[in-house]
Amino acid sequence: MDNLFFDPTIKILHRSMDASALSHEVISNNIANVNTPEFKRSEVSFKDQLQKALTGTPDLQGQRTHPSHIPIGGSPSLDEIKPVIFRESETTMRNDGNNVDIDAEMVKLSQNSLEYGALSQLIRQKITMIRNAIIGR
Amino acid sequence: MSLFSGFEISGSALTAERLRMDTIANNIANVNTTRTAGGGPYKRQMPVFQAKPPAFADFISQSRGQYQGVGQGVRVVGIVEDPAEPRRVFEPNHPDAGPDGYVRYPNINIVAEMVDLISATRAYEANVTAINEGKAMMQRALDIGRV
Repeated sequence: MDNLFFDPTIKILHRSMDASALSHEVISNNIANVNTPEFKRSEVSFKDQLQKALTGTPDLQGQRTHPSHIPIGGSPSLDEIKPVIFRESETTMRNDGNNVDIDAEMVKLSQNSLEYGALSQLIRQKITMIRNAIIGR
Repeated sequence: MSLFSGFEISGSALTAERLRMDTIANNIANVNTTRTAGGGPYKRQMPVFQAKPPAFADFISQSRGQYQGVGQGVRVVGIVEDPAEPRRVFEPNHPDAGPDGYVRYPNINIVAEMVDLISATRAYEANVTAINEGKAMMQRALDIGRV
């Protein structure tokens, strides 16, 4: 029964949707501050961590002989990854120190919205599959 | 941390940009005002924008080194007057002329105000688009369990 509802697909989709919602918030903040002097844009990074957790390509992993040894290196499990917000503080777009490129932000906004829609569609299909299996159609 | 706070972020920007538009409208309306209640010609007003920092709950996560919180939009911390010198025009017969015959007019450049107005309008539209996208995302999420 656990595999029915807690299989990796639902977990991956759920976390990706969380990251997409956080990305929407961060992009909205960038757009809101397009005219604020000295403001530096931020963005969300999640796909790299998801890739590492899925493909499990370990870098150098420390050997643990006891559960309370601190893990060194290795790839995180699906439960441990979370989206990270980076602030891009090195660049400048205008004289007043603001580095928000409104065109790039609008494009990212649309892309993120479509990605969120696609992920929600995938979850719907997954639930439909489970329902079909239960009904036996 | 949800899509709802995205609405508040964009809403704060709508308020700030609308205030900027009102300030610009006031500047343009008073481009030839030589007399104000406080004495002297009208001084150009400028809104000061400040980015709102992340919410307090995010600071706890930030101190644990997990992630940097999301800013909460923008707010106007005040409206300041432009300290530039007023424009001086020689009109000895004007009632507000000084003893040297010069009238001091406000230091407002219409073209610069127009450019600021366009910029404020585009920023307003961009934030409205962000709100619409957020709304679309929430509607897609509500469709997940629908039969």
